[in-house]
Amino acid sequence: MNKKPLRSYLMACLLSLALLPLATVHASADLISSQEALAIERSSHTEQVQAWLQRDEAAAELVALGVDPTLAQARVAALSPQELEAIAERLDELPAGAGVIEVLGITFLVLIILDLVGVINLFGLGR
Amino acid sequence: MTRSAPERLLGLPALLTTLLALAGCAGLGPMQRDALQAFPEAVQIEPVPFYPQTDMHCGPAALATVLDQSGIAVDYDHLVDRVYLPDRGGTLQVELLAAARSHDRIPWVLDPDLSALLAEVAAGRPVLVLENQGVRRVPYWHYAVVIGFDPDQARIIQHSGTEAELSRPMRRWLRDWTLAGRWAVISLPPDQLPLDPNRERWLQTLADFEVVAEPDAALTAWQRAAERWPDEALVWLGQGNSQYRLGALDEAVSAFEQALTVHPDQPAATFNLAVVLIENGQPCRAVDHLQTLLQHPALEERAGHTLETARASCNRSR
Repeated sequence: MNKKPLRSYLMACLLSLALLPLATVHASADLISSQEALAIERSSHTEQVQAWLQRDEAAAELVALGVDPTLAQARVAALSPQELEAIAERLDELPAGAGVIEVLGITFLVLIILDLVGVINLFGLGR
Repeated sequence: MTRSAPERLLGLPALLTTLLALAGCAGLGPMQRDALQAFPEAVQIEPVPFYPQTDMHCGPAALATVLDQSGIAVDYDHLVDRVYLPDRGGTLQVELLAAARSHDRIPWVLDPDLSALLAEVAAGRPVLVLENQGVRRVPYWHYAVVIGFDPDQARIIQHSGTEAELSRPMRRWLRDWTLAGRWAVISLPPDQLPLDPNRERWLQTLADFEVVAEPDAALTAWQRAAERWPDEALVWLGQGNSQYRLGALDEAVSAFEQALTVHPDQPAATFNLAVVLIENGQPCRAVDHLQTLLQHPALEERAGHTLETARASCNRSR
């Protein structure tokens, strides 16, 4: 006799748990973000949609460069559509600041010497 | 004497020109000199927390410095996870901007000129810069943070790599900065505006911020923007969105209505107002708003769906 209410109570709990994420996603997905509003204003709405599709592509690029897959998702989630596009389309060309100063100094010196050597050969000095 | 006189005459000016060119690319032009002389005294922001870089983590180190200075307690290792690309051995500019957003700080990229950078430093904001310490064809990218400068000595002071308060000749530094496209960024708390915000670019910056930041941070940023540009619909739309995310439906309704007061047909504000009205128990008012969007190319589908919901609720409430 006691089992029935307990079972229905459990069912209700499970159901509401299952519906909870749906409800929140629904609520926040409904409004138009200011970002999308700007894109609509500029009639670049389709570009914006495209940029959103590039999110997965950008995340894959980051993973290929050694980033943990879960972290990669969080990282691309914080990028703007314009930034996403840059990563998805020309990641190889983007500067990646590293700052290896010691190696730097030596390389620069070598480059200057190479330059000077070139100059000397060019003008026939020091032969 | 192994060479003839004509050869020496040809060679010497050429060598001198080359040496001058090498020094010349690091020269201070009249514009830079003026920019520097506009400040009568040396400036140094104190104290600026210093995070010495480890490995090739100049990006996380520089970001940690500007975030910390703007009031965010940071975990250096966490930032490494957020912005460093192991197999590239470096950090992308766009990821520094994204990571600032994730910490509820507004990343503002300055105009690419020395005056803008010096002005922000003089206003007490350290500036994160990208440098190319190599040459154009063989670049060595490096991030550092400008924390001061001395107009008399023409020097710039930075936290750079493993060196705190590094003082460099302005000419040398300008060369590196210019070779990196004069990229400079500040990290702003949500209640601050940069010294010289370009209206359109600032609105885009806040729109990108809104998507990532916590709703209370986004709300503060939009409120500051509304004080500056109250006739701009987007600053009210942004406030409405943030209020809605905070669960303040009445405030969201007022904000969207204000957006429609300053820009009567603004489609996004019309749509968002309708959605919030439905949730706030006024579906019949939502119906009128949604009907105006049925011809809008980007919104007709969404407006149609929402209109059905609004009509159903409206009929039930009668």
